[in-house]
Amino acid sequence: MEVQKGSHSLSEDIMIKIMSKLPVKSLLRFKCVSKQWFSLITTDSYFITTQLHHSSTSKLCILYGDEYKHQEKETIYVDRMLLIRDQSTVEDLHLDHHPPVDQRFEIVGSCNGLVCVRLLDSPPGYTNIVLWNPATKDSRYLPEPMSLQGKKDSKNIMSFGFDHHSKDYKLVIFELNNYKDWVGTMFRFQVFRKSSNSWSQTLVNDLSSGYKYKLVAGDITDSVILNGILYLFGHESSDNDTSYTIFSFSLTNEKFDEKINLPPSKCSKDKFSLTNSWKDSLCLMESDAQYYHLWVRGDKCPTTQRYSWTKLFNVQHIISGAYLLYFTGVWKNGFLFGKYENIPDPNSGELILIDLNHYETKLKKIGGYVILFKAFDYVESLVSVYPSI
Amino acid sequence: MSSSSTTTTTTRLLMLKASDGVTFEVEEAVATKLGAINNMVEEEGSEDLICLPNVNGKFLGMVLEWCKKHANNNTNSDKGNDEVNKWWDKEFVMDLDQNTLYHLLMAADYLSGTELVDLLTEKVASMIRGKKVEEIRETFKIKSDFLPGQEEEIRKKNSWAFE
Repeated sequence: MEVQKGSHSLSEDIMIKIMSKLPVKSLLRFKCVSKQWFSLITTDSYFITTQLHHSSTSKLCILYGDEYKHQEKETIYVDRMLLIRDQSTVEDLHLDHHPPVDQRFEIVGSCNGLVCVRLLDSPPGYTNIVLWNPATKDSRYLPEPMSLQGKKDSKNIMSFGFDHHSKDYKLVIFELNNYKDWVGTMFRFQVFRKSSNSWSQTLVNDLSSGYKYKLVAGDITDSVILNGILYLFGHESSDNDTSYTIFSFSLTNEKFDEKINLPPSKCSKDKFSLTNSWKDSLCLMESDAQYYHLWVRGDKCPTTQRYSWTKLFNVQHIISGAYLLYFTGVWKNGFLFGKYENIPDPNSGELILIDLNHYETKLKKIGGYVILFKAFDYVESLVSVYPSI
Repeated sequence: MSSSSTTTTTTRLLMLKASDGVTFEVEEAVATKLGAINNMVEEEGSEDLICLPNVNGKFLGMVLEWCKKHANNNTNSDKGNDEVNKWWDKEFVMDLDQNTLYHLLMAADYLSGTELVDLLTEKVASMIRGKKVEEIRETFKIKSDFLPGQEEEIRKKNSWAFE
């Protein structure tokens, strides 16, 4: 390599290093520079992975919630999403999907820049599952899973994440029947793999364990994926015992793994929900009559096979009688809450961040009657919603 | 106790000779922060003079200045080291003009100074992130090789990224 005076011929290696440190929006614009830049940005999996790796150092967060609006005599619900870039940049986020989504939806999961969205009704001829990259604004309907039972006593749980072993994105649907009081018995699960763009199913009879999985399917706070392991709530045993546990399911083997004990408290599932992770550890929010308690999972005791849990943080639901707090999730070194005036029908509130020292930072005003948000970790990436990359 | 073993703790000095003949005397511990020099020292062992025909004195001097600062900061085993290095890195790249930056980057790359390359590529990225397509082509001397109409099509698909 000869260093020439006055020329700017940086090596390809260096150019890739520079480009991988650019934000997605710049890269989308720079697709126009040349054919080489175009193919690097759109199809080069090494480059896309390098960019993702670099982008992952700034942790963003997507919040999803229902907004309750009073219109004349009725209450309507609309979806609302916020993207937290940093403490001073919180913007509204919209699903720009074609054909436009004019109906309710919910976020199933977010991973490496891809967001999986479930539409509550599917438009004629389409499935109700959309894979979306908010940074590139690409989205598409996923192929149809095997028919999901739509009976009143059936329910399903969906979760979306990345399997580090096969380097593939997977969407898992656990299907439950005899669904009652938030609990159902799993009779089948289906797995979608992005690389093959297809579904496979496993019936409960095919599982080696004799245990019938009784799983909790209340709302989107009932499952979370962390480092390739999916966690969800269920009953400790299949008979009439109704004590709760956390099941783990490996995205690599597509099998249930160990059961994880809940923290040592009153231990009614109603009080717990899974949140996004705290510094890469499994995190639970427990809500009792007065407090939110945030628990973080520690190590497993080799003799008892039970995990230790550490209570990180407590905060009261009502602050000095004047404000109500609604727990949202974890972000960076703190916890996100919706903060509303403690009066009937408050019609605007604030999104706040409270750190471990109880220091409170205001992030954004949120209009609309009480919105209950859930937080998803997010990074901006070029990862394609299509099978190949 | 016998004291027959002679352990010398004095640091070895290396002579680095740039393309324009300028030489630098540097401690081995400083120079071996650069992967290329580390390899040469390991391979050639006893040679104290290292010729670097692909880097001129100005940029070799700057690269070595960076190495020295980092080597010195790292010998103090204080917790604040990372902070000091970060602060110093910021100062180091703050006023670099584009021409110097690119030559320094090429020198750091040639000498396999991985950390320095990271720092400098980060700086370049921050300088070009807001640029227009035409400015990028000019900066990196790239000619568009799209067929007529192709570029328009790509622009149209991502029009929001041009706002």
